[in-house]
Amino acid sequence: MLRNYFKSGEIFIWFTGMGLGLSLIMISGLLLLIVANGKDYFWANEVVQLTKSDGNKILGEIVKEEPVPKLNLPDSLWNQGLIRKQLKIGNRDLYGFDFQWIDEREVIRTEYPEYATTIERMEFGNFYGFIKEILVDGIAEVKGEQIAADKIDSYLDITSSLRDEMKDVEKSQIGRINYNIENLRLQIKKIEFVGKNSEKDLNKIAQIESEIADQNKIYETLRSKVDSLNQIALKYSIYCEDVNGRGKTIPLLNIVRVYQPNNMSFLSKLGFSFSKIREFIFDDPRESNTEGGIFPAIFGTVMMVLLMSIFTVPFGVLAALYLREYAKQGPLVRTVRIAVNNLAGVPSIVFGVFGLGFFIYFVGGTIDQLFFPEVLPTPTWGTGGILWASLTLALLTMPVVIVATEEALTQIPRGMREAALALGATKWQVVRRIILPAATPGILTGLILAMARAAGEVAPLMITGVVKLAPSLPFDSYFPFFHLDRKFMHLGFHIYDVGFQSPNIEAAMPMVYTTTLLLILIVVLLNITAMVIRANLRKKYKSSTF
Amino acid sequence: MVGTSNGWLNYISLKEKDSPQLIQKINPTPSGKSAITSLGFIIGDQSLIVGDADGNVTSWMRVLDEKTDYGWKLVNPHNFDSHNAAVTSFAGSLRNKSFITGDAKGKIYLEHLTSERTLIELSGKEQPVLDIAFSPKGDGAIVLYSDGTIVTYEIINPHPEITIQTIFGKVWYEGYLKPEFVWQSTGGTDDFEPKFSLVPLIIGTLKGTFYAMLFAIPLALFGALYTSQFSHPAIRNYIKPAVEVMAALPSVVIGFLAGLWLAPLLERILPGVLLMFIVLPIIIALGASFWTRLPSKFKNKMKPGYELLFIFPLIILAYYIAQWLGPIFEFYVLGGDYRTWLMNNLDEQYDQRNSIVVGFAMGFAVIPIIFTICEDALSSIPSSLTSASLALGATKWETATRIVLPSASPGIFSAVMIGFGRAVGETMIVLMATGNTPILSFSPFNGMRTLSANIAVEIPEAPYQGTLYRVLFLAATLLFILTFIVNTVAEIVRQRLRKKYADL
Repeated sequence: MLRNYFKSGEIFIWFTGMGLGLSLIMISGLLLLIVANGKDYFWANEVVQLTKSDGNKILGEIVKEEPVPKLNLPDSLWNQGLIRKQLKIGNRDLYGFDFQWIDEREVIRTEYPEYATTIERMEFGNFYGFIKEILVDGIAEVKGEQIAADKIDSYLDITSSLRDEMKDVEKSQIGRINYNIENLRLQIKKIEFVGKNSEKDLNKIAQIESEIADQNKIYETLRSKVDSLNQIALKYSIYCEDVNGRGKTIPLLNIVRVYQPNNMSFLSKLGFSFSKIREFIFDDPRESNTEGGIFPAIFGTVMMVLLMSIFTVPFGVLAALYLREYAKQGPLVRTVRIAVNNLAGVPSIVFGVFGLGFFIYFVGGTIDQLFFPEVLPTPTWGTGGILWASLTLALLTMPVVIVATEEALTQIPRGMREAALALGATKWQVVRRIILPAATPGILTGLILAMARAAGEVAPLMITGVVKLAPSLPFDSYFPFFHLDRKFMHLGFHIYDVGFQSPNIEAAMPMVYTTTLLLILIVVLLNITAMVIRANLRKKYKSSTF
Repeated sequence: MVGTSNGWLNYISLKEKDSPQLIQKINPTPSGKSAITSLGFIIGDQSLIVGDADGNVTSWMRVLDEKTDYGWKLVNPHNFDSHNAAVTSFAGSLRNKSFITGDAKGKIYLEHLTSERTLIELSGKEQPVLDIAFSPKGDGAIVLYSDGTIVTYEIINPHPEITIQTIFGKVWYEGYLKPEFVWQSTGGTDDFEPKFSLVPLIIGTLKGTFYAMLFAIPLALFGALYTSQFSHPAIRNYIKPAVEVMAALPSVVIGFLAGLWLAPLLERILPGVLLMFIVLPIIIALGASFWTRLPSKFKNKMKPGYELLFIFPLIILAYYIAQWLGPIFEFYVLGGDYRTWLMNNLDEQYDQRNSIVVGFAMGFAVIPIIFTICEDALSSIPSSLTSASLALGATKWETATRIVLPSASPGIFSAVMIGFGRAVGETMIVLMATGNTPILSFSPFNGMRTLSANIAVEIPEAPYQGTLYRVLFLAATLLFILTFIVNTVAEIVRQRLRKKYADL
């Protein structure tokens, strides 16, 4: 009986199923975890007020609940399932920390005050408390929690339009002047570097210097314009109190958004979420990347991936075409194929090191010596940049494209080629008119997989040009528009940087999860697209065999 | 320190100025009698270079020793090439641990303390060297001969500290009690000596890979076997995309979750998780035997190959049982807290980011790779073979283990090799989920630093063409060679297998 039981192997089959089941549970659990944590960032979470047994009150959002660690408890209590809660209490400028653990046993009352307000600020994180007054020029124009809650939005509109105006002047007009001055300085450096010291040179330098002086004058007027706008905006402020009655005056200019989550309907919460999503995708980061948006990171990732595709697709497709269509199949081609597969298995950090040594220091350094000697030792191309990062990733993803293209080429039925050749087409015509169009979906699959790989890769980028905060995008309105020598931000690196190198990791967690969610969405969507294309391709060739 | 003409070196403390105290008297020369002719400190004032009348050059430094009265004793960590003539002069570099010695026959040696390398051997004039001085940058020396002539030399000495021994062997550094493998590339002071042993990093790499493979191989192999041999085709169509999604997950995501979510969680529930490895097989075995005993009326309602649907709830059940048993086990067997128990009984410190976390995380990253290649190999076994076996009366399990597995074993081997290659070079996961401590330790409860993470951490800071930069390039080369060999072997094996079954 028992022997039969083992012989039939039913039990072992279940064991093998266990391996698969565990893997599948892990992957789905991971995705669920990220979605569950990532969505919190966009939701207007309720603000809870806890009264402790000593009469102190705590106001904040509940972030986490977990069993009290046993080491904090006497033995007699350790198995009672006591829970502690982690609250985000904000008000870093008042308390010095913005998270607090509170033991369930200490709480005597839990409330959700109607006018508890969350104030998102430009610095010091959120403020949780109650708005008491709205001040203009130091005089209270609006008093009382309820009226303040109604009126605050109209005041915020005033300051935010002022802020937009200031930003516009600072970014586009002052930015343009800085750019001009920088260019003029470079011209002077160039003249000095060539160094003939002739009359003509000196005149030219004097002329450029007067131009710089002109630009500086315009700069001063713009600066004073910004300053006056700032003065107006600073007149508006609010007076708030925290839950224990400590007062704080906050200038409206420092406020991003004010809301009273306990008082919001589901629909207004939904609207809130949309505005948060918009901010997340289209705005610049704030507070050392832990708040605000990640637009520069999205932009950097997309641009890097597109640049990479420009390099990797032509080379990959040509290589595959040669290997499959032109080369004589033999030991040499077999070795090349093994080498290509091998390239796919080389650790990405090794590609990064290669990129650093070859592209940045060798190629970039040489370009600097030949074309930009006047600014040395400050490197122009001899330092990390989006071009070098893209080239490195192009090498890294080349095998993906080659393998996918080759696979597509092998699937094209022999009959199609032979028919074309029989009709008198040349080899090149066959490749150009028959084979390439038929292989396009396969090539596309390879490209998409390569893009997905590149979007998620971090290690080689870390050493070839990704930075935690890039002051300017690699694409802007100044000639030549694409600045491929600039450093850039990247979603994957953003996760690493915010999660592991930010000063306040606890506060950064929602941001990390949300960025992770976005990155996974991009990568998984790309992969699913590739899978669908491939599945359709297979079906097509199955039905059209000769 | 006083050297005498009859071969003694006296170590004297001047702590009390009026009454110097002799701490130790040693015989630093190999013969024991030859006169000490030259003494001098290397930068940092820790190592004393002793030259004697026979031309021997040795270095001495003090190490902590509680057995002696003073608490310190002198040891002889390094010996250098002999001059074969009385050593007359000494000069230490102000930049690194290099020094120059000159002898009575006019020979000049440029040597490096830690690597014991003789960098240059010059025979200038056939005259005793009276004195030598190093230039402040360490790029030149000036030598005074006994006939009064002065000769200057330019020294090009870029990487004096590197030998095969300093990179791969044990080295006795200043301030250490014995020769050790140390990686420490930067320090706070000017006289700091970088220590470039790759051994702790190589061990760290292999350790991380080992735990990852320990977790990944069984899961991936079992999963592939089940998918290709036992599961219903309808289920198979869902499994493969799921695994592809798993393969597509960026490693930075896995690393971040491992470091910030899994590591703190695991610290809390480790006993329960480890118990899972016992509880889960038992539960599955119980489930399977319960299933086989069900009346065939129920059994026949389910098509074969749908076991997976029952396995999911069983796994979740096993998880909860293990989590329930975990604290009980910890309380009664380990006496309350497993970390204290580890400390007291195994003398192990529990790091939050340790090899177990890396094993899970990197294993998770490698599973899809091994799974896909294994599954490919297993499904490529021609159905004529399996059908023949089934027709002869073998059960499904017997067919799978006796026919399919052996035939596909080269493919499985190459899957494991490729998975190994991937784990060895994985960077972001280990960077985020280990403490990045370059300490030589085999304990699963400690962190590690791997070659790849080390490159990622240090190369942005390494000056171009400096020693660190080159050592990191060497590390990258090592990684490249290792993965290249592993992948080539795997690829050749796989192509052979493909050819073999193309004929059947």
